[in-house]
This record gives sequence, structure tokens and C-alpha cells, in this order.
Amino acid sequence: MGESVMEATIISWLKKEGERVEAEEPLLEVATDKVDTEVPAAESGVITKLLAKEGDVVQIGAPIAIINTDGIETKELKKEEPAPEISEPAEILQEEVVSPQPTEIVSKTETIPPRVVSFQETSTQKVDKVSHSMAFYSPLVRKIAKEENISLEELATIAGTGKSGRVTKNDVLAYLEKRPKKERHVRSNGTITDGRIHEFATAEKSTVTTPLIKEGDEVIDMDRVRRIIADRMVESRNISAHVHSFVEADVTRIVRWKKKVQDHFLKDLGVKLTYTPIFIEAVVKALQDFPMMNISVHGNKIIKKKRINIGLAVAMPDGNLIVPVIKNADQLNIVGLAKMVNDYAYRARHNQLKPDEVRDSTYTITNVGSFGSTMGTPIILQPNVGILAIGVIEKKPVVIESEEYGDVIAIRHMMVLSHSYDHRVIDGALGSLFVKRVGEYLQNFDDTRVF
Amino acid sequence: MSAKYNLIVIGSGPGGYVAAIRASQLGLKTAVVERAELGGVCLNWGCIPTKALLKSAQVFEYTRHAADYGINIKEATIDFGAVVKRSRGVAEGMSKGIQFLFKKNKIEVIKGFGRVQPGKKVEVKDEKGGKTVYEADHIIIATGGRSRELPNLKLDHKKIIGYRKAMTLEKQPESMVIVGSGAIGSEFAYFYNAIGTKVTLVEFLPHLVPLEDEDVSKQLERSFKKSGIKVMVNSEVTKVDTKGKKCKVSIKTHKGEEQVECDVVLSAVGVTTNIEGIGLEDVGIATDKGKVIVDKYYKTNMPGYYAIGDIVKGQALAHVASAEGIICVEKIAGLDPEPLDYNNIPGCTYTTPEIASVGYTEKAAKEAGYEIKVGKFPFTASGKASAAGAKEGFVKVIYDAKYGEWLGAHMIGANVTEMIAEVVAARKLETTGHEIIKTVHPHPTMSEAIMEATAAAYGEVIHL
Repeated sequence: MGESVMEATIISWLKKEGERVEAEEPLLEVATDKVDTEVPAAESGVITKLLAKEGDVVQIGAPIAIINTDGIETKELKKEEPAPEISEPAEILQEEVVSPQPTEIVSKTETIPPRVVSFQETSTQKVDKVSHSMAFYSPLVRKIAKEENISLEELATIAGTGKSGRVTKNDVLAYLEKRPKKERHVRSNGTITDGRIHEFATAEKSTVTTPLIKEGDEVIDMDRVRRIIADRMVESRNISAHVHSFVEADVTRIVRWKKKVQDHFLKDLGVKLTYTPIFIEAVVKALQDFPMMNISVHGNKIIKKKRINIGLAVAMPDGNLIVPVIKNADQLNIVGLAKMVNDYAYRARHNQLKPDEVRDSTYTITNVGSFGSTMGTPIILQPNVGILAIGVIEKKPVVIESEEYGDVIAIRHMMVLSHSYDHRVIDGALGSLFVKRVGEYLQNFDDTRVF
Repeated sequence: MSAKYNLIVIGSGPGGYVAAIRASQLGLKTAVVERAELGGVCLNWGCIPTKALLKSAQVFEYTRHAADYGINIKEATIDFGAVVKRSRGVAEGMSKGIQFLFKKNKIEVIKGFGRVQPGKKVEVKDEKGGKTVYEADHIIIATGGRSRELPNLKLDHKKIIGYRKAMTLEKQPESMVIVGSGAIGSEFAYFYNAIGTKVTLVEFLPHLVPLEDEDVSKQLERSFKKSGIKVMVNSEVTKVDTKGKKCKVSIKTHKGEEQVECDVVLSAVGVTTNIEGIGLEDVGIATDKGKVIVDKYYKTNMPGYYAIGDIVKGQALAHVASAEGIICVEKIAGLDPEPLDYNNIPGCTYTTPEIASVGYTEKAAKEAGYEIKVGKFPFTASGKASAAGAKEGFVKVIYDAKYGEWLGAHMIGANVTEMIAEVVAARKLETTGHEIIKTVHPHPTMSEAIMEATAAAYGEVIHL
């Protein structure tokens, strides 16, 4: 595992050998970690040779086809090595989940088309560099840490005897000697590259024992996505100190409003209104109130995100899970949010999401209520520090204080908000206040608004 | 009683003079006691003058092979006296350099034989026998070593000689038996053979340069035999009869006893420490098997007394002594130096082909329990070596299979002594093979072989 997608599976060639392809025209379909995507041709020309078959797993950078470009010599089409380090720190982890838009490079003499980098991205990259330079570990120390599943946190606990307290090979080996054996099996797997540390927890190989398969049992191989999900979940558990806060919200006004406007939405605006965009709106407002919920952790640094990008967990028909991201959700109103939610949900279920659409979330929402759950304790999507689970909306008798009648029991639409957050950086006060604020926005929803 | 110093160093070899200069830099009032030339054996009777001799031999060899490079030279001849004179001149120049450095760093030189005394004192006996006592807060003993003598090979300095005499002989011997094939023995074997002396090299152990990796030893053996040196391994000199005009050397081999006649026998069976008569017993400084016992900062058992260089455990090499001197002084001055890693000390032998190595040999790595990856790149596959007409030799690298640690590197070939520092630096920085493969080496150079050998260890070699 590295900072990028290392390989992709060729699902299908959209062009045959001898066929002509125009620049930007889809040439093949590939599947990377989570996303299946089309790869367009870099240049126009005639395909002289396909070097990889459908179903082949190809390494990034490996030539897969030769295109005889118009009037120029034969060139090898390669999958581009993803441009180095132009992403936000958060993306380093995110990129694990998604594939970069694979573009093309051609022969060695050709220049690699530079990826357009916005100013903002460039500036956040600097932050990234600074935060990484805090601790230096030699290649050997990093290799040992990787082999022995010593996490960054664990490495940091080792007293270094080298120059300026640097942890040396001998320090790590001495530490391993006295390290409790058990720990090795539960520790996360630290992948450390280029002097930087990226944390990826995986279930350690040595703990995988041959399961007892009894007669009649069925053995099912996990598919690629399931394996990735499995890794990500354990990984996140190891990275973040998960804690949970729960708030109950009266969403009667929302239920009422939705009923009132949904026809108008569908007929006049062409959008099917669901509860999800309403919840997103409340979460965005709460994030604006508590910007320290909209952060990620990098080593000893906290990166406060300027943008609010809301990840939305969507169940796929095959039972897997994907998280499309509504970028800059603070700049969309309910209509815009609704459109995006519907579009993403549809395309997620039809496996049509683009790599860019499943990265860079800064906060995540999951709807456990759609499956009937009252509440949940979701696992944080790294590198976010919080995830909100929305429970089922149910009518319940509740006590309402009224001036006229005092305490009265009324039947209201109630819902539980479950907030999982990373106690490394978010304490109970913020974690609770945030979810309480989301509840308040829902409860005090203005049911007279048009949209 | 005379002046009081912060530090007195006994001995001005590469351990002593470096320690003194570092001490002066750190603000210590420092004096050095030296009984002979400044710079010790290294500058005067070791590293430097032998390199001068070897260069003469190499130039002579070039002239003999000039035709291979398209150059016609009338037969060149050796002026042995001039070769020796040049070597002495180089040594003298280096020694003067030390004098300059001492002056620059305001280090006092006390001429004479130093003895440590209790109460952190040093008694110095000058040439005329006069004794002066100096006092210091700290005393570093850096008295170095000298040739070891075998009981059946007592030096008479005429027919049975040590390395000193070997570099200042009045006339070139026609034939020579060299006992011991370590760095000193092998270098002299190359030197004398190259200038036309008939050389027999006798090694007690099964391989030449027995401390090196076996592959290196075998390559040197091949190269030496090819160049006309008579190599006798698994052999022992039992007796030398010096009564006649020539020496009759009895050599016991596994096949039986053999007699070799020669003009001189060079004993190069290692070094022994100069720890006698320097007052260790008076102060109560503990020794073990001829070496002063010290901690990792070179403190002896007696507070205020330190020892560095050949007289302590560890490789008897100039660069080790210097490194020890610096660590010792920095600790005295209150800094927090990192103790020396004796497993990362490079060793060089300046024969042709040259030998350079650091870290574990293949055998030692296996014995230490490592599972290893070994890569070897022969200079026959190197463009630079081909162009230079120096295709002999190889680079061999050893990596730990588990963590990728660079356990050792062993090189034999032209210029390899200039290449080994890369390995030392990489190991110091705890580099793994991956970084070496990805480190771009200039083309064409001999050093590419390091990258290629590493790539070979990982099955990624390009030019093989």
C-alpha cells in the first residue's frame, strides 16, 4: 500500500487492435480499489497492439497498449504514475480508497502533462510537509516497523538513542525484544514511506488462523471491495479513539414540511425530496458553528479544513458500501443537495461514480435508519474525525412543555442522532455539543420555508 | 612540576593528534607527548608511506602495460632508492602538516617518552634522560602498536624484517618471503612483486586476507597468482636459517615441509600494543590480553585516564583511532557523542586489485543468524572498468532478508577503496537495499557496481 493506487484491473477494452481512437475517447474500463472507471485515450491514433488482456491486473506505469499516433512514431500508452504529492494531506489516506483519474503518458521523451493544481491544494501541501518533518525514521526503522506492525504511535513511544533522540535500528530491535508478544497481533500496520508515516491498520496476517470449516459450511471469497472495506474498518478503529454521543431530536416539523413540499419538488423542480438533504443541511450548519469538527489529524498536527465536504455512506446492491462526497456542501441549498444526493445514490448503485467523487470528505453521514435501526455506532471514515448516524424516524409519545397546559404528552416524530468522533482530538464536550446542535437545527426547522 | 593542562594526550598518531585538535577546538588547553615523529605510525611508517610505495609500483605496472593502451614506452626500470626516497618525502610532508595543525590549534608538543603517574600526572623523559612531570585534568593514552613478533621469527632487522624496514630497505631484494597475508603482508607482496622481486606469500589460515569475505580472498589469490606471486595458504613458517648468504625458510604445508630461499623475510603477522613501560601499573589501569579496558567513551577504570586507538579493543585502524579520539574528547568536554559502531568500520587494502569492505561477511552474517540476500556484480560487466582496462574483481553486497538492513559490502577491484564510504554512510543512515537501488549512480563509474550488486540481491539487476 502506498500513497496511491498501485494497480488496476482491466475490465474491458472498448477498442480493438487496428481500430482508430480519438483523443479523449474512452479506450478501456478499469477497476481500481473501489471505483470502476473509463480511461480515455491520450492521443488520437490507431491501436497497433493491446499489451494487456481483459481481466489482467496491471501496475500503474506499465504499458498496456501501443497507439500509432497520427503521423508520429509508435508510442507506448502507459497508465500514469499518479502525480506526486499534490493532494491535500487528507487525500493521502483517501487515495487509498479511490483511483486517481488515470491519464496517459507516452514514450519517455514526451513530457508528462502536468496536473492542474489549484493554489489551495498547493498551499495545503506545505502544511503536509511541515507536519511530516516532525519525526524522522530511517528506512530501516520504517521497514522494521512495517514488518513488525509497529504503529506510528507505538514508534513514538520508543526512546531514541541516536542523534537528537532519533530512534535507531537498535532502539527498535531492543523495543521488539521486550514488547509484549500479544500486542503484535492487534497493532496496526504502519506503512511509512518517504520519511513520512501513513497509518494503515490491517488485520495482521499472523492472526489469521485456518477457520474450522464444518461439513455443509459454505466458503465465500471476499471480493475486492469487501476486502478493502474490511481493511479500512479495522484500520480506522486502530487510528481513531472512537467515542459516541447520542441525541434525540423531534423532527415532526421536518416530516410535516417534507410532506407539504415533496410534490412541489418533484413536479416543479424535478427532484425527489428525501430526508437526507435536510440532514446534510443541518450537519453543514453545525460544522460551520463548530469548525473544529471539520478537521483531520496528521501526526502531531491538526488540519482545519476550509471546505465542508460531506461523505454519504451508500449501500450498494452487492452488499458493499461506498461513500460519495458532496463537495462544498455549504454552498448548496436543499434543492441542490437533493439533486446531488439522488444523483450520487443512483450512480453509486450502478457503479458509475468517478474517482473524484469518492474522495476528500471532511465529515461523513450514514443513514442507519433506512434499515430500521434506532441508533448506531459507526466507524469513522479516515481521515475524518467524525461520522453521524441517522436513526429511524418513529412516532413516539413525548413530554412537551407548554405554557398553556404545562407538561403534556404528545405524539411526535422522533429520531436519534448517533455521533462517533475521534477522542484523540475531539473531547466529549465538542462531540456532544456538535450533535446537539445538529438536533437543534432539525428540531427548529422552519417549516414555512419554500425550499 | 610544570604547567597544568586540561588534557594531555600521550601519542600523536591518528588517534592522539585528532583527539588533541578536537579538544583544542572545544576549548581545552591541550598538550601532546610524542617520543618520535608527529603523526605516529600511520603518517610515518604505515598508511601514508606505503601508499606512496604502492603508487610507484602501480605507475611501473602501467608503463609495462602501456602498449595495451596504445602507448609505446621503452622498457621502464625501477630506481628503488628513488622510490623509497619519494615515500619518505611524502611521510615527512604529512608529519610537517601535523606540526602546522598543532601550531594552528595552539597545542603544545612535549618531546619525549610519556608515562602516566597517579594523581593525573604524566612524566616525560626527554632524549637526554631528563624527566619532567606535567599535570592535567584528563589524560588520554594513545600509544598505538607495533609489529607483532613470532617466537620462531625474531626480527634481526637485516634478513628478518618488519614493515618499517620493508619500506626503507637500502636495496631491492631479489626474492622475499612474506609471512602473513593481512593488509600489510598483502600490500608488500603486491609492491615487491610489481617492481620485480620474487615474492612468496605465506598464510597460516586457509585464505589470503583472512578477515575479508571468502569470495574476496579467493579473487585476490587468483589475481596474485596471475601476477606471479607464489601464494602458500594453510602454511606455516617453522624456521628461518639466516646463516648463509640467503635465508632458508622452512615452510610447513599440508603436503609436507618445503624449503624456500630468499634474500629477506618480512614478518607481517599483525600488530601488538605499546602498553609496556607507560605507567599503567603505577596508576592501576586495568588491561586484558594486552589491551587497556575502557568503556564506550574510552574511560579506563581510573577516573581521569582514558585510552584510545590500537591499545584498546576494536580494529587497529587509523580511522578507528581518530573516531575514538573525537568521541573520547567530546565526552570529556561535556558533549553527548554517539558511541562508535564497530560493525560499521570500513577496511581497505591497497593492493592491485584494491580491497574494501565493511560490515558482515557472508559467513559472519550467516553465523550471526541472519537470513540473507546476497548480490554480486563483477567488474567485467562494468563499462568504466572495461574502459580502464581494470575488469578484475566485483562488488558483493549482503542484505538482511527480513528487514532489508545492509549487513555488509565487500569489494575487490580498481578504486574500490574510494567507493566504500558510500556503503558506510548508507549503513550509518540505516538505509535498506531499496534506497540504494533507487539512488541514481553516475554512469560510467565503478560505483555503479554497488547499485547493480544491490539490484542483483533483489533480482532487479540490469547489466547482468
